[in-house]
Amino acid sequence: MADVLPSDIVADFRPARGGAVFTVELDGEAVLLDEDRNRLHHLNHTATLLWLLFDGATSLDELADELSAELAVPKGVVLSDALAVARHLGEEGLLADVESPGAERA
Amino acid sequence: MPSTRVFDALRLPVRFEVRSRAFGSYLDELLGCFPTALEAESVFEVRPAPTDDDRYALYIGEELAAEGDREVALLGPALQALNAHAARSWPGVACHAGGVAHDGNAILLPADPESGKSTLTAGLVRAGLQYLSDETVAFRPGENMIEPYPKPLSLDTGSWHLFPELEPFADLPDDDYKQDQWHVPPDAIRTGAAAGPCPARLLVFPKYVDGARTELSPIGRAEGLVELARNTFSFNERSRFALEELSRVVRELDCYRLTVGNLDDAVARVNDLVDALPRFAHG
Repeated sequence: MADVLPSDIVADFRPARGGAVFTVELDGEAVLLDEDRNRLHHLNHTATLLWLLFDGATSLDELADELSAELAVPKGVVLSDALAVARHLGEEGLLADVESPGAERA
Repeated sequence: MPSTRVFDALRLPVRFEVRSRAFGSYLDELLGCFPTALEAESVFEVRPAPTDDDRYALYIGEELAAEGDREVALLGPALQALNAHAARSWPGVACHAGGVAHDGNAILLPADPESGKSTLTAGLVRAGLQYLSDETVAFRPGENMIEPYPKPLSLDTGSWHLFPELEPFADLPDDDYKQDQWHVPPDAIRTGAAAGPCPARLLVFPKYVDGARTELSPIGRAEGLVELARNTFSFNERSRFALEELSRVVRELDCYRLTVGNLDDAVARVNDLVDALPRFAHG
């Protein structure tokens, strides 16, 4: 199956953390090391929470359902955040099966 | 050929071989705070240049590192080469940072070149803190413990007016040794200023901004980790190992950014942080 473009990520997409990405978490914020590109990324609390849930099996819509109930936040808000985070991380080359033409390899 | 003693630079035993006794004695004075080692693994040699007997060359082993019109002109390149070799040889993670200590607790000052790191380090040592380094902070592998690297502080021309008492005066035939930079052994600031190994407790990222108000701002540990990684020597060569080591240390630290507009104000801000360290963190 061809990789999707970040801009094509929609609610039924099942994001998975890239295999070459190493995660360190400090005080609820993640630092990601993209070992392919030798780049570091710093995620805020929301992005960290989502990143840790990107298991390749759960769709963004399902994640939004779970988090909306857990955090008592409207599903629409959670889904919007999840889509934005997934697309951004996809652009940065951090998600599996997502094409990231802007993120060059080291 | 005159030779310095063998000294331990981050567990790399080094000696210099030079042409003149006066230069050798001066190097011994500058490097006097490094512990003595038994046998050198690296020899930094100053000898006539390969293509011109009237010039001098710095060799590290058999590799030509620099050339100069006079022997003393190679002082700066020799010290820079020492810094590079020591950092490269260190088995753990080493960062481009100043370091000072108080009551056995280290305050790390990672910064880009020209950020005023050495100036701030010198100011803090003058104010009474112990000296770890103004260039390289080395973490012992697997633990939060800083290995001191007590090189002579390197003060650029822009900060000389802040430390007139530290101008070097050496018994050398010319002033090449202090034309572009002052190399100041820590004992010249205060006898016994060199610190022993100690754990890190504070992470402060200084940046000199001419005319700015001196301000200290707390930052999160994740942000601190990213900044510290950016200032780590050879990070890309073993990035995962380095990130794991650094994250283990940063978990225990409070992290800040320090905008430095005035040295005395910056020293005061750092001292306030040191004074506020919890008592259980001392010693």
